[in-house]
Amino acid sequence: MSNKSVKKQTILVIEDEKPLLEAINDKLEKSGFGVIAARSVEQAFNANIAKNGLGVINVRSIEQALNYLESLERVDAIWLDHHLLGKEDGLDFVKKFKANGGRWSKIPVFVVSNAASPKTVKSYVDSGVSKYYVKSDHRLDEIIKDIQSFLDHSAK
Amino acid sequence: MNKKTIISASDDIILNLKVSAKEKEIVRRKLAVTAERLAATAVKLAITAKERESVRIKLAVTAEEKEHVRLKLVVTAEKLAVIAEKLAVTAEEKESVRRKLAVTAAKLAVTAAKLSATTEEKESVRRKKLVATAAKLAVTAEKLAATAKEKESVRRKLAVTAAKLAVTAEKLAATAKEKEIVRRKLVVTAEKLVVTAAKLAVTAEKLAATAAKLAVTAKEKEIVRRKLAATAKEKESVRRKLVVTAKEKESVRRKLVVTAKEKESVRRKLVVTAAKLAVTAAKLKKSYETLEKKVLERTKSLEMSRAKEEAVLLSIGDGLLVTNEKGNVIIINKTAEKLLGIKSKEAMGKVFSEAVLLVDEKGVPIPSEKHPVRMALVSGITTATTIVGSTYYNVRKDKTKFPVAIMVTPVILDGKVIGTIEVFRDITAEREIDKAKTEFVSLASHQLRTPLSTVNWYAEMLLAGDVGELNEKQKKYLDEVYRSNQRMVELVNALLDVASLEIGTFVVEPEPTDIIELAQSVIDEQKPQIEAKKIVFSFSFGKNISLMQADPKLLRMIVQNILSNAVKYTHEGGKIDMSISLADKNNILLKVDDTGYGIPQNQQDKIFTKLFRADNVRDKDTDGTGLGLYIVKSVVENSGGKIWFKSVGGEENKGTTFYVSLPLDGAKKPANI
Repeated sequence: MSNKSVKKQTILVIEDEKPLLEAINDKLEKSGFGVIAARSVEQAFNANIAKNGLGVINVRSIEQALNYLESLERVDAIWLDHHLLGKEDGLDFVKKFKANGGRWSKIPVFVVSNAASPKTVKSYVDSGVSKYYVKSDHRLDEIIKDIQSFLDHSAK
Repeated sequence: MNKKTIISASDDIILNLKVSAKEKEIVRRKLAVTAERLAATAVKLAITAKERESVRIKLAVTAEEKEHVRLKLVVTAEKLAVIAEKLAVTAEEKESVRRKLAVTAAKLAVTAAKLSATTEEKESVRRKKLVATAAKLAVTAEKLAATAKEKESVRRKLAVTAAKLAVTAEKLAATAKEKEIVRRKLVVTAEKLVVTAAKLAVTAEKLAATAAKLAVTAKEKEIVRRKLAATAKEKESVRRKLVVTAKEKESVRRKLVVTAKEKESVRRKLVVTAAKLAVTAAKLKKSYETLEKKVLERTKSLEMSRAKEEAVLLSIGDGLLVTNEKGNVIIINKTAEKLLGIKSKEAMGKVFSEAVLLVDEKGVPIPSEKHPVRMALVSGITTATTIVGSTYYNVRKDKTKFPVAIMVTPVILDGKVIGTIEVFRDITAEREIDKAKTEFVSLASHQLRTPLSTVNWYAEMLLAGDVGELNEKQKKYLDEVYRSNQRMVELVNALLDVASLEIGTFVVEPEPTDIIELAQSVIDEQKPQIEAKKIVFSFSFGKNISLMQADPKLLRMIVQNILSNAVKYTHEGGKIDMSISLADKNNILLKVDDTGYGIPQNQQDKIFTKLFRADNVRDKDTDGTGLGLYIVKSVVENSGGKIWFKSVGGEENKGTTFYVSLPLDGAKKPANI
């Protein structure tokens, strides 16, 4: 699928529901993406980085995490759920992450969530996310195809 | 002597003869020569005579010719003299014509001037026309006079013009006659007017006399009035009524002065009335006593009813604030005191906006023109705030605020707003319940959808062979799981829409939307089902359909539901015609016509009811939630549109036609603030 690009594209998936996270992870890898998975905002900057052979990095603040992740220049897109483990939700993540500026603020964010109240969707769109999917209304391959074509277009 | 000469000569000759006959011969020869010479000379003379005769003749001819020429000249001279005379006469005639024309022109000018003078008394339009004509004629006459001298042609024209002028002059003379007639009539009229004026003068004198008499009468009346007043002295009110009556009489009297003709009879009537007044005064005194009694009774009953009403007003559960027409507080009930933390005397008499501070969520005072009390006072229409939308807050005495629902009703008497009644309540609790409901929907949407998503995605991956190929049976079973799950997703979505609609959290965000494009995409989405059922499908739309103001999400929901219903409830090989057109200049009409199962006659009134499914489709094992049309109807009506249908109920294959009309300018906002 993404074989044409020399460098494997990496997607940071932030999803609290374990079975869903696994399904997304499997399907993305099957589609040729590298995946960094996280179930909380904190994890997004921490635990799963080890999975890519980068070792565990202790990050105490989001700021640190963002700084660190920015230096990695590893993430091509972010797959984000609204409800997450911990106190912070997806919207908090987007706000902090966009506010940080720099290269990170340019990484496309795809919100895939069942919290589909119009107000929530509007908040996300207003904070600058690329697209909002209602989880139960879309097939996995559909969303992945969408993200792929988005990345292909922005790569040009 | 001659005789002596001749005798001497003859003697000479005889002597000579005697001398010698030879000499005689010489003389005879000389004589012969001389004779010959004389003959030659005679011939010569004869020739000369002839020549002279021819010359003479020639000269005679010349003389005749000269005489002839002379005669011709004489004739010519005569003719010339005649011509000269004629020319002289012509010049004289011309001069006289010119003079006549000059005179005519002058006369016309005079006539015109006279006419203009005469017409001064006539109606202005006619006068102006005549003056203008006269002036034009004068100008024309002048021009004629000036040019007459030089130009024969002009003279002729002038002659023609003069003729015309003569006609005009005749007409003018005729007009002058008519005017004279009119003038005479006017003189007659004037005379009549003088007579009338004289009569009027007499009448005026009479009127003056009558007025004087009436003045005397008025004085008499004043005496009568005073007497009456004296009779009613104990009762102030009776006296006032009499004063009023007397004033009315005074005004009647004045009117009588004006209408001079009726004076006399009215005066008599007044005398009679004065007599009647005396009677009335007596009656009034009596009725006043009765009235006072009644008033006392009435006052007592009013006080009782007022006490009751006050008790009702003061004890109602909502805050109550009544203002007068200026917006000043005149009543405030106990609940309002409690809600606002004030005492009634602190608010009484104050203008509403000062008595109770109304602010928005941020504590900014609501501008006067948006204040419900002001709006009711100005518009005379009941205004209300709602719990949906922007909330107003009342500020308590201690500066804390609470969300409030307000309803202000104007009090209208004889078409004029004479005050307002504001009923308000603290909606803190309602808002909390509302918030809880909203949270429930959002939580339920998440919690219900998450497991559905899990089933969805895993089934999807299994079916896609991501973890190895499945055999046919496994594929079939899993397909059932997947499709059932899809139905479950649809049902949950529909339920959540219903819940949103019912608790009013359905957000409508209108934007310019191309309904044709949107319909086309819905059709594309339905294509697989349409083709699978071999349905003959057509879609037509008006070319003049502009973008409409609508929430594309909701518009899609409407079109999608109507079309998918048609597809779902039409047999294989059936027919569906969809069209979009302008219903009128403000509304768009969606029409979906199918040859499907139809809606049973006895169930047509229930078709938009929540969870209702018609018997004939329930029997046919098609899926459906019974929520689609309920949702569509809510959305359509929320958008200011209408939905209806025609169906030959129960008769198979006659089908159904659904109609949806929607305003082009978007959803009508409810009339609330």
